[in-house]
Amino acid sequence: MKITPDLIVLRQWGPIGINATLVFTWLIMALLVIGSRLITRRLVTHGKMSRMQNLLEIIVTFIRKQISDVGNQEPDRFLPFIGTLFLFIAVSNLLSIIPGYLPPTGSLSTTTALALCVFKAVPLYGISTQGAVAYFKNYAKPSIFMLPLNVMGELSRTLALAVRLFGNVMSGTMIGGILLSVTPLIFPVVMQAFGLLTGLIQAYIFAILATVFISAATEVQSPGQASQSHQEKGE
Amino acid sequence: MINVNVTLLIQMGNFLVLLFLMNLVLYRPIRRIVAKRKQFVEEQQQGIERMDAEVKASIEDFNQKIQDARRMGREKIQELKAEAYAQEKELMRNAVEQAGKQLQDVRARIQSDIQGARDQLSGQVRAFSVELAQKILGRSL
Repeated sequence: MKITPDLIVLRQWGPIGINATLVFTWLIMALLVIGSRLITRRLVTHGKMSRMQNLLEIIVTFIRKQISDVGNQEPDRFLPFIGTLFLFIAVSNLLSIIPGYLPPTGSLSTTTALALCVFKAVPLYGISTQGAVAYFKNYAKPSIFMLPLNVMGELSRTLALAVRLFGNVMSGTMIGGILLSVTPLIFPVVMQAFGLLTGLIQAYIFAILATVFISAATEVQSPGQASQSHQEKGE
Repeated sequence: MINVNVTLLIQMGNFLVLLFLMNLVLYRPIRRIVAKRKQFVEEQQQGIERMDAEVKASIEDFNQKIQDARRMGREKIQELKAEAYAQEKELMRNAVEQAGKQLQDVRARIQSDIQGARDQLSGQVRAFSVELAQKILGRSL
């Protein structure tokens, strides 16, 4: 049994290998992009709209609302990033119902890549909102001695983000495989259905955590909050 | 064996490409269409509110016109009544005047007739007296 799709190498050119992770990722990308394009090329504002347009609007509106609720900020800035994370992970996990398919999120390289994208997006959004000085000052709060801990926290949460998703997806696939060999048919099917729910929840968790990290980085303190924090510190 | 290799970099690139493409083919069109629909709904809402206001204004205008018409009707009735009273008064005054005049004329004519009769009778008094005395005495005077 292959524990990760990275191990299924199709082509190898020196250090660069085309493995199942990349192939399935490209398939998902093509599915998402072509599917979205096919639906969004015939959008209507009123009258009878297609079911697929309705579905897409529900998904996008749901993601916008979640970002708005979690971040308490204008969601449109973060929508493409968070939405793409969610859709990619969700579709990647949901397609695992297809026999022979291995979710790219079952590869640590993929989850680490996604977590690193979040890791990079956090300061980018933070600096664009607060400015570089104000953003990096946050790492030295409440005192300069917290700087190493804050940096470590930043790194560890990125690691946790990557490993959590990888662990959940990989374990789901492994459990399905093991159960298939031990008790064929019924129980693996139930676990596979349960795995779909888990996969969707993992996509939601990943997207929500990314939203929380970005929102925390882009949160600008209002004058009232700033004076309150000064008073708390006895200044 | 789990490891992180060059796939990680390719996957990062893949994600950024997907992010760009999805923004182009999904989020922008959907946001645009949702904004358009929102605008359409707002316009419809404004249209409904405008029509509602127009209907209310029309009803108020109608009621106002009805009230005005009723008031005008009442005023016209009062005016016509007053005019009729004035005409009645005028007719009555004229009738009274005419009747008084006729009465005067009749009285004058009667007076004149009485006077004429008196004059006529006073002219015949001597003859009647003689005749009466002859009848009483039973002989000619």
